[in-house]
Amino acid sequence: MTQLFNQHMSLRGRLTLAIVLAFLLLVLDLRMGAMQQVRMVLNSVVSPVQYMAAVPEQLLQRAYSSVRSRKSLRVENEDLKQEMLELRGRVQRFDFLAQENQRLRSLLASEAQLESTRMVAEVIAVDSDPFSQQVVINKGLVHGVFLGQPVIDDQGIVGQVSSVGASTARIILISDPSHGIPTRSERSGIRVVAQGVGETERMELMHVPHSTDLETGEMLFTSGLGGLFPEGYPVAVITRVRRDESLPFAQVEARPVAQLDRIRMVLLLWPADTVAEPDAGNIDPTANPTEALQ
Amino acid sequence: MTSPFGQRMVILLTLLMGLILSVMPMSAGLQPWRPEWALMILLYWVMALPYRVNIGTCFIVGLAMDVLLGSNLGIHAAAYSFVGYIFANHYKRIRHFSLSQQALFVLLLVVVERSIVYLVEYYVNNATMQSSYFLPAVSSAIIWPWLFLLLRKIRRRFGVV
Repeated sequence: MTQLFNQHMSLRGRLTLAIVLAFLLLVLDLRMGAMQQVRMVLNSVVSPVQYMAAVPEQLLQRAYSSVRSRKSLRVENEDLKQEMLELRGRVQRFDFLAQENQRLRSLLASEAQLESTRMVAEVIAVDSDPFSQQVVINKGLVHGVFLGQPVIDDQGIVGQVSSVGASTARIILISDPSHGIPTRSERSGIRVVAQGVGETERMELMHVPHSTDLETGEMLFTSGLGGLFPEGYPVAVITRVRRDESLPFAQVEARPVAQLDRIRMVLLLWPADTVAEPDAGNIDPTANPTEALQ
Repeated sequence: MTSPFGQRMVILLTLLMGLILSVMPMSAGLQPWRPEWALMILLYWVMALPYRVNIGTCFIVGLAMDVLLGSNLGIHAAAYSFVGYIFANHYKRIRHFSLSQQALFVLLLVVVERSIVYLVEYYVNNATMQSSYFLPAVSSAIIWPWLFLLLRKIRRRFGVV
């Protein structure tokens, strides 16, 4: 191993030095800008460990798929074909609606919303750290992944890229306690911030006044405010609304629609206009949220 | 007797194995019970070769854990260094412990390490503690005797001194 410390130093001296160094690192790391580069290098250095750690599971999966019977494969194939037919049918309708929407938008002289590009990534590590909700994916700088990039699965929003290495990237999930996502409710179009609480099945809606028109079972979509997440992706379903007048705000809980506890494959989204400024983004100044839903 | 370089590689490889085991995907049911592999392997080497493996190594492995787990840099580095210090300070006494006594001591140290991590996380990120937070201390203590015997076998087989 590397001899970081002088051999003749006393144990206590070494400990002091280590603690001071750790403290310095912590302070530097908390001021994100200073350490982003260092973190990128470190992420690249440890990425072989992550790839190695994912090997046994991948081998198991390969073994499992090679012993599956012909029959079960055929059944699955049938199912997938049917599902594809169904989705194709829906996409036809969707294309038509998208074009119509574009035309109507141009009639209203509001800016057109462009299609974004996507890439599939595989989750190679899930955090065992109980204080954060993060996963590591097998795509990184070389694939064009960037900081703050939105990530979805087949159901809805998963999270955003929080740090990038050469061939891996770390995604902070929407359920992380330090993560909040701007959303809009499906029925009433009310804008709320959904905050993670560190559990995969629960999120909290922040600063909701008692009079707000929210109901259980209502779907929350990304609002596009904040400029990070594109507008209109499902985020969570409201599971509980508690209006306790003794508290300053209503207690509203929601369950993320993405399956955060068992994500394997995710989609990385690239905005169509690649120059995304943090405060501009795709906010439509003319659209009133309630109108936009109709 | 292996060459000094080979000996270093043995230590390095076991530590790498510990890091890999620490981040390997596990089923959700077993996840809370994941032993502190990297820390235990580190502690074994600190006890066996306190002049070669001590706080410097602990710091680096802790830092690697920080990067792997995505926690703020320095948290695990500080915790591992502190626990390594305790072990390095008492390695003579710990060597004479029976395996079960060692396991109990490891349990205590994992509790200390996780407490440090929790305290820092609490001040930095306002983290909340889950009831299963200290389960790894128990599983680490259960694993320790077997890990100890295995690592001793490896150490003797490759003549790492």
